[in-house]
Amino acid sequence: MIGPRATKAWPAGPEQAISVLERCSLGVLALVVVSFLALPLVALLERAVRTSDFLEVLTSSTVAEALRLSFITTGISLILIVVFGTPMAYLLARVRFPGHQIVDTLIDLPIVLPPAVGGLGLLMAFGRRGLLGEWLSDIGIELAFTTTAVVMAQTFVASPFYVRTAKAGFEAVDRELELVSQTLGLSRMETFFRVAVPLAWPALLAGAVMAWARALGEFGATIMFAGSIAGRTQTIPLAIYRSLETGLEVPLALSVILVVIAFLVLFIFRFLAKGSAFYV
Amino acid sequence: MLEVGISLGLPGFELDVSFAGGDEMVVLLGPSGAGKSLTLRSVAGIVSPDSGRIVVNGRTVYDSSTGIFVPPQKRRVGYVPQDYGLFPHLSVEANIAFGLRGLSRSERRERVGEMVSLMGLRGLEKRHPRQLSGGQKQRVALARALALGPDILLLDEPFAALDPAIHAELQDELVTLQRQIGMTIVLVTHDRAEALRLGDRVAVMIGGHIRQVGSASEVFTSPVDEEVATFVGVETIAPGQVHAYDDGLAVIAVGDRRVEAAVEGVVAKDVLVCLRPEDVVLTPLQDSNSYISARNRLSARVQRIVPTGTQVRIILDCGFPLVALITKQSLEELALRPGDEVVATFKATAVHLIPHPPRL
Repeated sequence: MIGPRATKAWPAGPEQAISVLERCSLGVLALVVVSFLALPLVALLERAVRTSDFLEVLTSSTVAEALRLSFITTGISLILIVVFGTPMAYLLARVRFPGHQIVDTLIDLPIVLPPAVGGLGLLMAFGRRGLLGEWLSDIGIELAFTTTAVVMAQTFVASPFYVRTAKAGFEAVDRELELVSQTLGLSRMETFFRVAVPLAWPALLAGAVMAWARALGEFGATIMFAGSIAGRTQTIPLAIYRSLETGLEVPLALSVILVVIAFLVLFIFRFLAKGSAFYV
Repeated sequence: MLEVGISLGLPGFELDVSFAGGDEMVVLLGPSGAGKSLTLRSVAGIVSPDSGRIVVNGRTVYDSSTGIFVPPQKRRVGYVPQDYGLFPHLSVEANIAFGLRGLSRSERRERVGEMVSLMGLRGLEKRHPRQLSGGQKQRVALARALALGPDILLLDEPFAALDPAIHAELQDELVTLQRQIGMTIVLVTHDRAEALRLGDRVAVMIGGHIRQVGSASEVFTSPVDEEVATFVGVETIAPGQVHAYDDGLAVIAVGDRRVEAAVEGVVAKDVLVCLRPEDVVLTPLQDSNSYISARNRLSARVQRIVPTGTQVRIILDCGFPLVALITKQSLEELALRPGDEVVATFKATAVHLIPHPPRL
């Protein structure tokens, strides 16, 4: 559709009457939900501000190390997810191959699987006594309880968020456009980069943002497979948990940082979702 | 130049077509589901037939017997799909320049400029497809395909998505363009008025097969079989027997009526008498002097009157069903009502005969 959309969503007529009682009960219900969601955030911020040496804590070594580790590992995870996930998503969106359904389901599995189970699975596969780990151990590669393990755990848990969104993005690209591109002299590969990727771009970006956010919050799989070693495997969520033993300052500071990031991510996500303006 | 002879089997559908065209406008005309688009896509190389051969300007781009399959990106075939397939993320300029490679920046700009002026797109270069009208989109798609200097141009229902009010104008533009660039254009349509207007050569396609190829007037006045006749707009089709020949005329008995048809030589004994509704003139019973030149005058009873746009379709019974298409004005002058008697008049040259062995 070109031009402004029709503004009238309902057919003209008398507005549906809502009684005072209905209004009040709906209002109360909404208030309960909003408070339940908002109260913990307010409490976090309030407590963090009340902590006198908040800024000092932010620059402490535990916090700085956790932050550094989190950003490095999630960055690497995101790169891996995008590099391997994009062709996978395109394949799932465009080609009906034998076992398509199975692969599709497998890709989504980590979303519903408890992260701890994922972590245990990774341990059973890549741990010292693991399916592949035993052999890797023989040639001198130890994965469990290393920074690499953190990346593996994050990638395992977060990749579906990217692949899913990217797949939907590619599916929305008119196949005819890719065929036209080929008749205009471009190979399939060139067509992928010049037609499919630019048109699916908002979805790819949104998927990447969601996957990154999920990787940043990763706890269960990481603690199972990588443990909680300060400076090596102790990412922000693990640091929050571990440092609770010694006081509230560090967990509060880290939590506030995560809350701010979460807000930013959602904001960007909404903005990108709106930004898919190519589609007429 | 194009030669196509391909077959392709799909679940529940069999495509088996062969036709050829010179540097002219070739129209593939047929109802939806006839396999027209599939044929076009096979020529473009985005569908692979099961067997056969496709030759474009003397270059074999597909031949199952020698295993040749030139991929679409190497075919030099311009393809414009039904909704034009413009890239929504690119401007008009970038759309036209899309396939231009191996050129310097200035050469590319020059080429885009040429196409922009050829297709009358000046001032629209920076726009995006969503800001264009249907007609403009069509011209951008043509410009984009032509920019690469293809050997042949394929257009799939280029007017279907456009306002009918501007069809005639854009069709004339397309004819002019074809004369200008002088290349083979294959156009797919289900609209016979479009085929008649555009086609130097018309191939009628029904049920996965090409039934008839010829000039537009040949196909429209001399369809080869009943189905083609129906599709090209013959509305009166009645079985009859040729009884006598008289000075280039065949005298045919249709039921208990007599119809004369202009023929060359001798035709089969059993025939289908075909008549287009616009070739039938209706006159009042008492007014027996008009249209002396017409060879066939049959009294008929009006059965139904069906308005169709600016004209009115009169369904008559004159021993066999006969359809006439007259203007609203004639209808008023004749003051026809269902049940009225009129005289249906048509020339012997308007009658087309299809050999029709009686079914046993």
